[in-house]
Amino acid sequence: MSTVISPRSIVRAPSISCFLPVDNRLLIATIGGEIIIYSTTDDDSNSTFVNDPLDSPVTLTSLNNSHPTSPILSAVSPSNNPGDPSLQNWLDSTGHQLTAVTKFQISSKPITEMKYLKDLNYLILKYDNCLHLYNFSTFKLVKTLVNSKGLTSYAVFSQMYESELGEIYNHQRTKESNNNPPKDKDIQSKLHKLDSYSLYQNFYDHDPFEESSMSTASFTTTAYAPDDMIHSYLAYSVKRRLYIISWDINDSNSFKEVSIALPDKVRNFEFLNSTKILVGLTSDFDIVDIPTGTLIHLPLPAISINASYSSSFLSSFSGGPRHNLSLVKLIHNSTLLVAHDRTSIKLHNATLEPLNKSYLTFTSTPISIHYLFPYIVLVTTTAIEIRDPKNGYLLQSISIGHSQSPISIIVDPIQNFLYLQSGSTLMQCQPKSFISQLNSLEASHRLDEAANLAFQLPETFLPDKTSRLRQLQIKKAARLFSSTVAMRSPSDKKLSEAMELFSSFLAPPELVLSLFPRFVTGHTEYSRRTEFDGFVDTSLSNITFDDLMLADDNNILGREVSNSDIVTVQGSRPSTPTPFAPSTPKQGMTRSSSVMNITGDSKSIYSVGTATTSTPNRMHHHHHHRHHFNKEQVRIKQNRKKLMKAIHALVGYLADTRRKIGKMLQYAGELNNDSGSSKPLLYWKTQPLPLDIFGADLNKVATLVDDTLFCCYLMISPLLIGPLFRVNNWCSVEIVEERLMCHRKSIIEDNNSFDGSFDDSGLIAGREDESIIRGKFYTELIDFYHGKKLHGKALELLKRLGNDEEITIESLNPDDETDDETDDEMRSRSSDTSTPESIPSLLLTPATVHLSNSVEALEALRSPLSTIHYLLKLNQDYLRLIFQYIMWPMSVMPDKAMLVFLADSEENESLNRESVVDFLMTGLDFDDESMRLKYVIDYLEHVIGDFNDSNPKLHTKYVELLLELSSEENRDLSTSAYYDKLVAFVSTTNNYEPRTCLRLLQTRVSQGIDADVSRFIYLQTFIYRRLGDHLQVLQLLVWSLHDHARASEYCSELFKQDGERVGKHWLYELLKMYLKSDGKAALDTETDDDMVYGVLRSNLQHALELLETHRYATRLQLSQILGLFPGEVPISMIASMFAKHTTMQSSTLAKSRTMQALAKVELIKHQHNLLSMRSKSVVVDSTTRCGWCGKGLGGSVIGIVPNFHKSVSSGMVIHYGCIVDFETHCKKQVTGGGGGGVTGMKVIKFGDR
Amino acid sequence: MSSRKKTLLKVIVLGDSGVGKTSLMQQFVNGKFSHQYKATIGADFLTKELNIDDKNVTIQLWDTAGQERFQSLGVAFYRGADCCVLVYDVTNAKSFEHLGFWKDEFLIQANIKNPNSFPFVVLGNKIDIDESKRTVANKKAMQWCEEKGNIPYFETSAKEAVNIDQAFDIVARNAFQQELENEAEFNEDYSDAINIQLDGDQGGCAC
Repeated sequence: MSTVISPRSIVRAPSISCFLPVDNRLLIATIGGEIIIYSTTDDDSNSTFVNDPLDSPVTLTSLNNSHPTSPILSAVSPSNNPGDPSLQNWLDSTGHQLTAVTKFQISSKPITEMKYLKDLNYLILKYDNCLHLYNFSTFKLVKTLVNSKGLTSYAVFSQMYESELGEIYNHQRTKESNNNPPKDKDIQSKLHKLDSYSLYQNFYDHDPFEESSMSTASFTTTAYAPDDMIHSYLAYSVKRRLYIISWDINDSNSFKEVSIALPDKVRNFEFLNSTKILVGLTSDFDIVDIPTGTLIHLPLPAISINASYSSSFLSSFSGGPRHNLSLVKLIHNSTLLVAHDRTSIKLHNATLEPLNKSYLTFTSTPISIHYLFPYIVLVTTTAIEIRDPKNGYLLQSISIGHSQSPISIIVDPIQNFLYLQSGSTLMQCQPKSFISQLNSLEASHRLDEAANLAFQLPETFLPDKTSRLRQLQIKKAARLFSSTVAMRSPSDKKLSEAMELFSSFLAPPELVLSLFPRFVTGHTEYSRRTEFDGFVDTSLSNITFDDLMLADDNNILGREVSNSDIVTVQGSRPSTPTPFAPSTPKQGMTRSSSVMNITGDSKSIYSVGTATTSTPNRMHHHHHHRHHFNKEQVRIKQNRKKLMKAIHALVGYLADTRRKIGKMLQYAGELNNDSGSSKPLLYWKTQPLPLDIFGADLNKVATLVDDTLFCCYLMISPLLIGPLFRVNNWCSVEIVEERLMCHRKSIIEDNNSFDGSFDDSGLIAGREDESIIRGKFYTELIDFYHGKKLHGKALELLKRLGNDEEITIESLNPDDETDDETDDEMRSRSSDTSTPESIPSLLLTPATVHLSNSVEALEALRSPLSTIHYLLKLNQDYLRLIFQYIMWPMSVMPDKAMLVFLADSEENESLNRESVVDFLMTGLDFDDESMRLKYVIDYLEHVIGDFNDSNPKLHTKYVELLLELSSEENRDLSTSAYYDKLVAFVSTTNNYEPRTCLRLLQTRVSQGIDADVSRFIYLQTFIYRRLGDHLQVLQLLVWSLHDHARASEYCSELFKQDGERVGKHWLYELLKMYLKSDGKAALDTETDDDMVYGVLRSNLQHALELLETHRYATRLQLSQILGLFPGEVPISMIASMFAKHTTMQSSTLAKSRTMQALAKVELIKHQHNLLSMRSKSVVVDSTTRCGWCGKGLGGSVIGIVPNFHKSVSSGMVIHYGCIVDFETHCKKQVTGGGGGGVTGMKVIKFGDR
Repeated sequence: MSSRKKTLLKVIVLGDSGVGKTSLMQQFVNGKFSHQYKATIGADFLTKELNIDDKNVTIQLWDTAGQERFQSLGVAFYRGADCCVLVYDVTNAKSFEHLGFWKDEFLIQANIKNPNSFPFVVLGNKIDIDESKRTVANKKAMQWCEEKGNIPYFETSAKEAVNIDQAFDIVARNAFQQELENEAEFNEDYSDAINIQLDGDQGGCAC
């Protein structure tokens, strides 16, 4: 029990009938009808609510030697039970007495109640069973409300006062909501939607901040708008009638009075706001809507706390003889507390909907309930109780002796002081400083109440509210966690609840992990936070790996394993000290290597029972230990079970935290990138989020979290390791390698058709070896390496797997000259640190073990395809690695390996192509060289065809390789295919280097490898053509290839491509070649005259053929052609050519004559038109009037209607200004009747006439 | 499972920003399509009553923010998911490449106990866009889904309502199946195995 309020008596007067604190005055009415006014300002501790000192508790000078921080008022009466301070003690204590300032005699009758209406400065007194309004300054009677005769109760409501209160209690909150970082309305509404969703209900139960934002929203809706008319209200009830008087505060003379009839007798009532009054009738609660006078039944749902309560509750609500109705407005969170007897319900201020978890049941029926921020004060027949309205926690209880006079309490909400009157004593009770309340609650581990209080306090009282609340919630979570874990069978729900609390209040991972054993984290050297030391039971965190081990298992299985010839991890790693060895007192443990342990572990869960029963000698050996073991086993198994449950819960926290850390790291990174820019801060719960909230070095924390998550997955759901490694993660290489390689999954994996029984049969020597390998998470490790860009390691691992090499942790980190230092470091580190605790795979359960690393999976990994697929993901940056590791797949399955270079991927596109070609040409061994060439050609085709590479070197290389493959000697189908490719490539592309290719071709021709070199000469023509050397092309075609048709076609192509001039030139050149050569060009050294003549003859034939067949031949000048023919050519041979030319000429002549005649006809037509146009005229004289408006033309510019216009007489003269009107008129007509528009209106200026 | 309780299937829709997650859901639930793009903030959900093999179920589709700056929901959001729909845009190769990321991230955040059997459905959206603009071939997507454990794959168009009902029918069926398994798992305490062993030990002691 803590202390919320400490009282001091301030007034002792014999005949107090009622009292009222108003601002800094205290009014006391006496039975004699007198009002005595006391001033509270001369008081030495007049600290008001808003100026509440932050740290020092209010000094309770009036209490005898009472220690301020004493949790109870034992100093007053030491004999009393400290947990149950009595009111009598308070009343007996003497305090600083206030002195009366003045007094007024009001009436001869006792004043039974006083209320103050601040806006109007009215004091409303009840005496003589009637209400009287008095001016508070002068104490003159203003008015007596005659209607109020016989009233039961009355209440006042002032809008101004309410808003003042609202400001005090909600000030901070309103500010918060204004500063809310997501300003977007959309976001707000989204958040709201999420709030209301039931999924989040549980979540937000721990998250008071969210509630606050909700309540803020609702508060603002109820706050009155400032430009409204401000009113003050007074309401009183007489029997079944409720009277309400409202004043406009600007004009106290104008007031309205309404009365509302109610179905039943009014017992008491309270203003909800300016328009609604909650009325307690004899049988139920109604809300009176003042403007309309209508009644709304308060929708109180049936309360069923439990059966026994509900019956009593219902009966009480259904109208017992005397029941108490209390209404308390919890201003700070816009809630109404409606209490009826022992039950109460919280309603939303505006909607009057019951709030979630809103029922509070009191231990005894309160006589009255009051609001003392942020608590409620209940007065019952036996005690005054201060409770938390959120959950009903009792914070302070002051017992009332049975012979006390009635107690009346009034709280001044502005000052947040509670005044208590009993008999002749009036006491003022101030709440203790909130900080000290908070401290004492926290010190006594009442964390719920502390968190609750911290949440309610505005930041003006608790400047570090967010961080304080966070601390409290984290502590709460830690306690919840440890108390749950301490149970025999911890509840999963509670554990995850604790973890969610940790998560939502951003608990630092180091702190959370301090609740767990070290081996869960994988880290040995992280600093463990000690905040929880002595506070929570950290029994779980002290569990060592040994505690989870059954000594029995190890004795048996240790031997068993050592009997079989398994090369264990331990064996391959002699420098590592034996895990557990130094600190383990148990014999047998020292013998266990990590692998042996794990073997034992997996057996220990599933097969201990059968193992012991199935082997009689072992059973005998251990028989005398059995009893002891059973106890021990039970304990150990409990520990395992607990730990596993805890880890299941922890995973949720870790996953959520890693996401948050990721965001923060990303933010920090962005911050570093653009320093100085006004990047918005990260926010958490409306507060700027310090980047070190999880720890000073965020990267380190990230590693801790991810390593732990990894270790947890390894224990409980190994299938999630893969996903973790594939997303961006901060797992450390050392831990991952070590754990993955040492870890051996349960032997049940061996049994594909796991039938639920675990026995020794799975562990036969032959399969053991396999299971060791299979247990290792190679796929995951490779994914991990890939994520960490440790491609070399991944590829080396794949290679070793492919070679069927044994994989050990050392082999993952081979001695590399460059890595020597780090490797040494690593070794020294691993030997320095106490023991790299092994993984409790014993925690594996059938449910979590799957066949991810089945035989098939391992076989797939061993296949070179894995390496190929890996290499496919690498880009130019890892070109060296690609070349290094493609070797072995290339030697096994080259076709598939080539995919690395032939893939249509960004990575492949990024590779340096020249390097790749070089590598393919020189870096690989092939039995068949032509295979190599084919691969390079494939690559080049891919690069040129798909990536549109225009590098001349590659293009030339392509030509070169195709040329090489188009060899004559091993001609086969593919060869001709290569040749065709070459022709197509050379003829259609032009990125290759022509000179180089020409040289290659010429060399090829001159080498004499091929019997038929014409194919290569033919290729040369394309290259010469590209070079623009058409003469060379024609010469090759005519003299070397004798392909006259092609030569002729070539000329036609030139006509088409380069135009008539160039075409004619080369056609002429071709003719010249035929007619002017001496024939030697074609015959080399042969000088036989007959032969020469034959050649000349055939050349002549070719020339004539060309002239006759070439479609452009007639374009050549006949005179030029004739000059080419040697003199001895008989006319008969060229006669047909002449004829053709003559025909051509005469047709041209005829055509031009026709054209001439036609042109003449056209000329005559135009001349006629000219004449007719010139002859057209109108005569304008002084009498000529405008054909449109009828006015004289004067000197204005005129228009003449053209003669083709049929609707009006042509040649009509109109004003220029009338043209527009005329044209619109005509257009209308035209659109109606069809025909052309009025175009061609001739305009003549005055001068033209 | 209890018959009086209405089955609520929680389905999470994930994918890169702008692939059409919201549009798909809107088309499925409301039969509407809007041309305007509006980034989803945080998360939003829509529900629809469905009938699966004569059982009435409520499918609750959780739309998520694809844009990283709006991603704010963590473990609590993913908890209890019955199916995860991965969406990409067939004209956006990056969105396809990111499917793996979304899948893995989901598995971690949702803490899926048995990743191999958890139902995913992949939707390739925007097939209404001109074929020439398509960058992810049907075959490629099918292959990816097959490699990841025969994930059902649908090509959809939220704009033209192509394949939407078919896809979400599979989503609902798979989610329903998962929900049944979840409940079964919930009832079965994973520590049972140990208890059985304990009993076995004691039995052994007696002889």
